This record gives sequence, C-alpha cells and structure tokens, in this order.
Amino acid sequence: MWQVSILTGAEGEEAVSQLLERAFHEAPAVFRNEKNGAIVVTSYVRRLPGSRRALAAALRQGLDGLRQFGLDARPARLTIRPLARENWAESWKRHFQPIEVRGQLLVKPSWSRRRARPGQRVVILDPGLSFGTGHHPTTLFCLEQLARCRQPGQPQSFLDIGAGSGILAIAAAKLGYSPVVAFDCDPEAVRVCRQNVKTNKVRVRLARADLQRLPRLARGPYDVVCANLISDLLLARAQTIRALLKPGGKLAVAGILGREFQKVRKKFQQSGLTFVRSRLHKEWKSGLFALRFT
Amino acid sequence: MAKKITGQIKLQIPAGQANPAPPVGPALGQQGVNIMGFCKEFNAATKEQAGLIIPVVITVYQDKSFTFITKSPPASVLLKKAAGIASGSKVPNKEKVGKVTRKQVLEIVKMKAKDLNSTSEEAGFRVIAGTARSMGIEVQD
Repeated sequence: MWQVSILTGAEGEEAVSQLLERAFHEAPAVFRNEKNGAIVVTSYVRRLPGSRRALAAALRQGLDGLRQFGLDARPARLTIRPLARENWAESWKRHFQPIEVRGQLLVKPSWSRRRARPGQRVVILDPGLSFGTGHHPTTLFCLEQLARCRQPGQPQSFLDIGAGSGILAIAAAKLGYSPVVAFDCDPEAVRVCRQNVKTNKVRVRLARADLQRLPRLARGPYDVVCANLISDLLLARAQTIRALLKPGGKLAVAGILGREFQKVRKKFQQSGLTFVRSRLHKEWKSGLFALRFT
Repeated sequence: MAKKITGQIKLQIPAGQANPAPPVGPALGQQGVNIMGFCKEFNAATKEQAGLIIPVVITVYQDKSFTFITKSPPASVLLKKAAGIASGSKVPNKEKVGKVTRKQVLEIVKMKAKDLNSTSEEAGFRVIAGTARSMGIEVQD
C-alpha cells in the first residue's frame, strides 16, 4: 500500500483533488488542519502505476500545469511513501488511554484491559460522535470536582447541563450521586448518552432540552451541578444555572478560555455564588463555585 | 462543552458501505477518530442511498470526538448513472460517450440544490449541463 500526498492551500484543494482522482481513478481524502490551514490531499493505492520516479514526474508536471490555469496550489509538496500494513480498525485506539481521577474513578474505553484499583469506580466510554472521553481539560476538571465534592454516605443529587457523551452523569452515578439528571440540546448527544448510560448500567434521567426551556425533571435544586458549556452561554444563563443549586450546593463551570474566565467568575459572584477554586489547563480555565447557606 | 476543532476530513464513500479499508481507515485513523464508530454512523445515515457515492465532511475535535455531514453525490457520479455509462470521455470535445435529457439534468439540479452555489434552477442547469459536456455526455431536449 502506498500513500501519495500533496500539501497545498485552499485555492489548490479542488484542482489537486482532481489531479489525484485522474491519476488513481478514486476520489482522494482531503485533510484540512484547522491550526495552520494546510490542506493535505491523499490517495491510498495498492500499487503504483509504474515507477515511483515516473509517477512523481507526472504529478509534478500536473501541478506545474495548474499554474497555467491561474491556480496557486503552493506549497504543492508531493510525498510518495509506502504505508505500513496496519489494522486500521484497531490501531486508532492507541490515541485513547485510561484516565484515573483522584483514585476514585477509572475512565477507560471498552477495549482497555486496565483493572480498577480497590475502591475505584469504572466508567466505560468509547470515543465517538459526542463530546467527552475525559481527555479534554474541561471534562477532566469536572470529573475531579465530582469526585472531590462527593461525601460518602450522604445523599447528594447531581445535574449535568450539556451532557455530551454522558461521561459526567455516568461518573456521578458511579460515585453514588442520586438522583442523577442530565440534558443536552443536541438530539445526537442524547442518543449517544443514552447508549453510554446503558453500557455502564447506571440510572440517569436524561432529556433533550436547553437552558431556555428547562424540562420539569431538571428543575432541581441539586447538590452539585456541572455546566461544561461555552462562556457566552454561561454568562447569558448565570441566573438560571444558579437557581438550580441547593443552599450549600456546588457548581463546576468549564469550557471557558483563560482570557474569558474573569468575566464568568464576576458574573457568577454577582449572582450570589462564592468562588471556591479554579484551574488553568492549556488554554482552558475552569472553576468551582458554591451557594452559601443563608 | 466548547468545541475546539483540530481538522476536517473530506471523503467520498459509497452509501452504506464505509469500512476500515483505505481511504477511510488511514484517513480517520491517522487523526485518531473512532473508525468503526464513524463507519456505523455513516452507513446508518446513508443506507437509503445505496449505489451512490456520498461526499462526507468529518469534523474532528480536540478530544478526538467527531461530527459529520453528508453532501449530495458528485454531479459526475449522478450524470454517469443517468447516462448509463461507467466513465466519462478522455477527449470530451471529440468523443461523446453518452446522452442525458434536459429532464434528467433538472432532476440532478434538484438533488444537488443544497450543495450548488447557483441562485436559480436555470443557473444550476448550466452548471450540471456544463459538467456533463466536460465529461463527453450530450444534453438533449
């Protein structure tokens, strides 16, 4: 198997794709790197048509030809290399390693053989269509607060706003929170979350809803609430979120860029919450707030 | 959660037939996307369009989760199907390899309406008819 790739820019994408499609009679794969805007057009072929040198010459000629049509396909860097035989259905899994949270939780994909240590609760979660495998700094912060806020033997309720894959709700149920309620505005997330809840054999009340129209089951109040959303939404709905807390309740907010955290902190403090702690991880800053007993 | 995108992958896959073989496997696997998860979702979403090639745009996020949207099949694929031919002409100016009617072209315009940049049906017709001619397919009234 050979991998024939051409690094190009936005203007060259279509023409370079056509060039490779004509050469190999199959539409190539196109990858656009969000960080630098680079576009790599790749064909995967079992055998090269002729020698590697001849193919390189023909493709370079084709790339030169694009200039005649006024197209800028730069950097137009061609790479032809053998692709190691690999079982692609399995090999992508190396990107996902189990995560331990404060010795209380072990979050692992279904294929992992890692065993939980005594006292650790296991959350099984495979990466897929919806957010949250625990590898993202914002999810990890929420998982840690969930574990930290849990008072063994005490009844504590939990609400997850923006459930995504359901990782936080499932972890909460495993840690002993009850009832556990979660909602998300994305029907796809609700579907995936429901599957993950079933896989983990836990009880989670789940609904498709958003903060503007809270379902009755989500109205609370709760002992612990997680809102791993975006800054704009947290700022716009701070009062609604605050109203979901019991006196003494804790709120973990995440999904906030470091430079926006101060604004979010101020908003929640103005709404009557006390700042407890925050953490900056990569570009994300997350925080924990509490509602004082009156 | 705030969705941070790391990249986008564009592929063309036969409806209902995505599998981990190239190009899907290496294209997704190199970005850490759950290949089987994608194949399952794609196949479920496109099972009604069997026989067609479906362009798909997969957005990959920082935590390796993904979303995807399917587009209408490429005009060249729909035209070849309508003309009943396996491939277009290598010399479209000289060698004609098939025929499609104006009605068939308009059906393709309707099918591709959401992905074409055309402002009217007539403009869409010009795009598809032009593509047909560039493949050596004649458009008849």
